[in-house]
Formats: sequence, structure tokens, C-alpha cells
Amino acid sequence: MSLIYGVYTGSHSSSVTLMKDGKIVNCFEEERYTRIKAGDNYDTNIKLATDEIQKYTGVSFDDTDYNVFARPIPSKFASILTKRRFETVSHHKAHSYGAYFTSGMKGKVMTISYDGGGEYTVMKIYLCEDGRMDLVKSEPHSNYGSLSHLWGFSTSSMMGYNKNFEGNWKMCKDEGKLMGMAPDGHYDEKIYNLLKSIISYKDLRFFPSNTASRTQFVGDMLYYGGYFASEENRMIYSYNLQKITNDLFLEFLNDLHRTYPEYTKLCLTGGLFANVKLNQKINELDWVEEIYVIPPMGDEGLSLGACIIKANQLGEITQPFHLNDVHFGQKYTNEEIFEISQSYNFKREPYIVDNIAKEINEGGIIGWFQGGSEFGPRALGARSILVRPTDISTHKILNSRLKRHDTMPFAPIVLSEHFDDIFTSTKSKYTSEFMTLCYDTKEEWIERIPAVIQKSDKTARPQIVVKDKLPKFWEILNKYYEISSIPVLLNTSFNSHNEPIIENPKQAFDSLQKNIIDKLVIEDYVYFVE
Amino acid sequence: MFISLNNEYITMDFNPFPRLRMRGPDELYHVELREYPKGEDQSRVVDAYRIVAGKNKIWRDEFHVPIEFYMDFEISVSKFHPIYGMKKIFTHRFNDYSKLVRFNLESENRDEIETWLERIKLYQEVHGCEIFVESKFDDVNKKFSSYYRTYEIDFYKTYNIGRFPKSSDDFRTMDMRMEGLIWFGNFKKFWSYQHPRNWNGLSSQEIIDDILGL
Repeated sequence: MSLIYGVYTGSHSSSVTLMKDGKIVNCFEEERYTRIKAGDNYDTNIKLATDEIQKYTGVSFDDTDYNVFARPIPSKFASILTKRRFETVSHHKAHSYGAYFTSGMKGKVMTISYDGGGEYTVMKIYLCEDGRMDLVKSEPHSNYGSLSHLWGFSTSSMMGYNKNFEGNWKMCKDEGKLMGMAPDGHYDEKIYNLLKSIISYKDLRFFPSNTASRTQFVGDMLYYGGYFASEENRMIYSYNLQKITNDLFLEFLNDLHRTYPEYTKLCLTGGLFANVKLNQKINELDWVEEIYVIPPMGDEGLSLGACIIKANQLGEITQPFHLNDVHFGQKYTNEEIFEISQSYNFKREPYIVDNIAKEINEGGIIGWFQGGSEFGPRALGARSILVRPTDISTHKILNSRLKRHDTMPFAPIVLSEHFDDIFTSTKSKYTSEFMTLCYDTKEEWIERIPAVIQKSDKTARPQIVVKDKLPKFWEILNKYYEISSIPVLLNTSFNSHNEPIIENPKQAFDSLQKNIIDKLVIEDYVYFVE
Repeated sequence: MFISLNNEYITMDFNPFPRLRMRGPDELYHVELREYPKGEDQSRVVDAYRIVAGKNKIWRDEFHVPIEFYMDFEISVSKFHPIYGMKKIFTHRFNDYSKLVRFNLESENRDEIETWLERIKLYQEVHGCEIFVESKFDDVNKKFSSYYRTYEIDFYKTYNIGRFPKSSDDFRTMDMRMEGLIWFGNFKKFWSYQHPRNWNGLSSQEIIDDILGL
């Protein structure tokens, strides 16, 4: 029985996790406190999140039995933070253990960790069964290409550079914009071949290596040649970027399947699998029985993975388990919230589900703040903005209020009982509780819920809401369904564009003050401006 | 070394580390340095980035990798082709056979110089190069380099042999993650740009063998 802190501190997505007796207590991300989404892409040691978690839980780094750092980690920093012995674990091992042990998967499972590189490795693959994980493949940067770098450096090249030579769109943060606009482009042989000159695939190898500098070079030549000046060209580039990613990675997976044919369940982790369109294609492969993408799939998930590795060594976690939710951030009581609200001039009334469902049905934009904030990039019912999905004009209003990029699609939440009615595939529902892949939408629903369907390819990235797991979230959705006969709501993350998801009541109240939302449901009360 | 390729011009030298500049009609060129590590069947990237040949001086106009000790490396230049993407226009594999290589010996100990000269002769046998030696001892300099001193010459490669401290302005050693070691190409770890290993505790022969890859 033990207390474990897991920490990841890096150039982006730093986080800290506290685990007690094999159970996750809290996971705090540094971005929620610095308010810089994913971090600034420079090596900085995590500070605010480690201070906050110690204050919130009352457990200092000196109180724990183990402090485990996912590499790369500066030992000087670790020594200062812990003043006690600490240990380190490998980057991709932390990714992989986090994914496999939260997958709940039984039997033979293949876990793939793939990202832009951690500890000089692009990818690791583990064959897993009955709680045992065997490493079968590890590919270093120096002779292996990375699709994640293709995305990262395409993102930073596309909009040019600011005076500090940083991409105006940042890698590790803005890749979703390219993914979001991809369906609006089309196949272009020239662009596809340009991308193929950067990275190709054969015999389980992505090559050549140094995808990063090659992508920067091609991206910058396109930028300086004026190609990216047109939005249409950006869409075309993004389409072909998505296509080559799908083509190469699916070819790789099919080859992998020929090598390990009995492994038809896949656990996926690492930044590449933030790409929900790729995840959809993987899920649609005939031989794939189920996929699971860990909700904090980026490097923020490493602190959790580090804890799980230790808990596994100690025999406290021996088999994969299911997550109920990922609301592992700081919680606030009604009293604390009320006190914070005193700085504002808001009205307050008790939360009544019928009233809020009715407001949503009438076009209201509702801020939803419940429990601890989400761990990972998706808003999943703790810090969400809820809107009716039936009105396409919602996009304009929301984009204007949130200062959001027009091409980014909005995602739906759907009652678990109605998921099969709306979407074509029925595989991998557990991972869809965390909004980690897209599905094709059934024809009859496309016109009914246009605000949450990507117009160009008719896909959506749903979060399945299960009554037993998220009862209050399920209740508001169900109430809306009773009013509208639509078991779906639009759910977007509670933050303004370019910001991380909000963390505390003050940030929620600020959004209400700025008229970003019409009303704020925060724990058991509704706040609004009269 | 000056190389002309149609209307592109490359200036390159390895004195004491690989360094390359471009002139040409394109804004940017991509330069890559790969190593063929001993006992491995694949080359590996040591470093690669784009350099400016045109007017836009936002990026670096010189490619260099400050590793001074021996590496079996290949340096290549690619340009952007609007249809094919990256197109390699130049490749050079390190090969000092029959070329002139300079060895700067930084020691005042005559015995040590003699030890180093023996190893330099071995390097010469292995590589088939011509050697040019500079030291604090005139007789050594005359013996090994008198012929070349009468001409103005370009050296193919320069090796600095000695006990050199880590450079304080070496940004990679300042990275706390590296724990005092330098990483290059995500696979190569070494102590400083001049020494693969910490020279404290090494013999004179071990120091020069490290530097010359013997």
C-alpha cells in the first residue's frame, strides 16, 4: 500500500499525478495553471502544478513512498523537488503502461506508443496479455521517421513565423486545426508527393529519419513561395497530410498484423493518436476488434504512466482496469464557489435540470463546471460548454464568442443508449467515452444534428455518456432528449481559443462576465447576469 | 573545399568540424549530416536543418556540427523541387585518403608528443592520408610537415589533440536534461565536442585514440 507521485516535465504538456494504493487520486496539468496551452515548447520545469497538487492533497513530495519521473528529466530538478530518492522511467514505457492498464482490455493486446519522440525514441510496441507487457519494437529518432513530426512541423510552418522565429501556429497545440480543415481539402498529387518525399514507409520502417528538419524545409519553401497564403491551399495541404498519415500508418499496422496476427486489440498512446481521423481509420480496419486511446494521449499522460509502472512493480495494479472518467483535477465546493462569486455581480439560483435543458433547447449557451477538471485535451463533462446540436448557425455564434477558428468542427455528446442509432460503427465504445475517435454518421441524422457533424466528410467525434459513470451529465443530456427527441448535445471545451481548458471557478465566472456563455451551471447552482 | 553544381555553389570544410555554406538561386537548402557507426548496417542522422542561401536571413546561413573528433560521416544537400519535393543535389562521404590532414598537438610533454605521433602514424596507415603536424616542438613540425609549409594549403580535416575543457558556451551542455553529456542525432552521447569521453583518468594514448577513432 503506497503513495506515489508521478511527474513529467518537458518542453510541453508537463503534469503531475498522485496515486494511492493503486488508485488515481489527482492529475494536474501545468498548462491549467500557467494558462499556456500545452506549454511554451521550451524546456521548463513543472512548478505551479506541483505546488498546487501538494497544497490541494496535503501530500508533499517528502510524504510519498515513491516519486517517479518519466524521462527525460533533469536530476537536479528532481532532487530539488523531492529531497528524497526518486526514480525515473522511460518515456514510451510510461505512455504504454498508462494506456494498457487503463484500457480494461482482456486477452492479447498490442500497445503502440508513437509520438514526435521522447528520450530519442519515436515508437515502442509492447505485446500485452494478462497484465504482462513485453517490448517487441523500439525505434530511435536517428534512423526512423516520425509522422508526428510531419504534423508538428507542418503546423509551425503553415502560418509563418513571428519575430521570435516561432511558428504562428504552434506544434503540440495547433495540429488539430490542420486535422479539422483536412476534410475540406482534396487530393492533390503534387502535394501528396511532396509529403512523400519527406516520409515513406516500408517493411515496418518509416524513413528517412529526421522528419522534423525535412518537414520544416518543405513547409518553409511552400510558405516562402506563397502557397500557404490561400486558405484553400492550406486545406488541400491538410487533406493530403491526413491522407498520407492514414495511408502510411495503416500500411504499417497491416504489416504489423501479419507479424502478430493474434493481436487484434490495440491500445494506442502518444501524440500521434490525438488524431481522431486516423483513429477512425484504424478502428475501421476489418481485423481490428477494438481500439483504446488513452484520454491523456499526449505527454501529459506520462505522469500517470509513471505511477502505473511503479504500482505495477509493487503489485498494486496487476490487470487492466476501466476508467470511470478523467475528472482528476481540483474540485471546488458550493461554498468556495459562492465566495469567489462575491467579486462579481451575478444572480444565483439552484440548478434544476429541466430549466437548463429547456434553455439549451431554446438556443442558450451554457457553461458546465462539475467536479475536477479533465486530464487530457478533451472537455468531457467537467469543464464543457453545452449547446443544442440542431442549429448550424450555432457555429458562428460560438466561434465569435470563443474567438475560435472557423474550420474547427464541434463535437457531440450522445446518450450511450442511442449511440448505435446515430453512428455506423459499433466498435470501441469505451474509448469513445473519452472522445478519441471519429465515426461516420448515419444518413438520417446528418440533417438533424448539423452543428456537430463535419460537413465535408459527415463524421463526428462523439463522447458516449454512460448513466452510471457520469450521472449528472447524462441527466441533462437525457432531459434535452425528452424535450427535443435528440439524444445529442454539442459539447465544446470551456475555454477561449488558444487557451487551455479552464481550471477554477474564477475563470468560469470571467467567461460569464465576458458574455462567452449565457449561464453557468457550476456544481449545484446556476449563475447568470440578470 | 569549393564545389560548383550548375548554378549552385558549396563551400565546405572539416577544420576542425563539418561546416557548409551554400550559394544558389533558392531561398533555402536542406543539409544533413549522417554517421555510419561502427558495426551498424545503417547510417544515422547526426544533425540536419535548413540553411539560407537567399536574402531572408531569418534562419542560419551556415550548417555546422561542432563535433571535432573522428566520425565516419556523410554530408548531403537537398533542394526543393516543386514536383518531387526534396531532391538531393550533393553528397560527400568523409574520406581523407591521399588528402592532407592537420594534427594540432596541444601538449608540452615531449614523451606524450611521441606517443601521439605513433598513433598519428597508425591513423595515416589506416586512412592513407598525408599528415601535417603542429606542436610546440620545431623538430617535430619540420619532420612531419616541412614540405607543406612552403605552400598555402587547404587542409581536408583538422584534429586538435589535447586535453580540452568543456566549453561554457556550448548550449547543449547547458541543457539540464543532458546531465553534462552532449547528445547528437538522438543516439550519440559524448562528453564534449572535442572528446568522446572525459579525459580525466585516461592515458595519453587513450585520449588520442578517442579523438581519432582508432
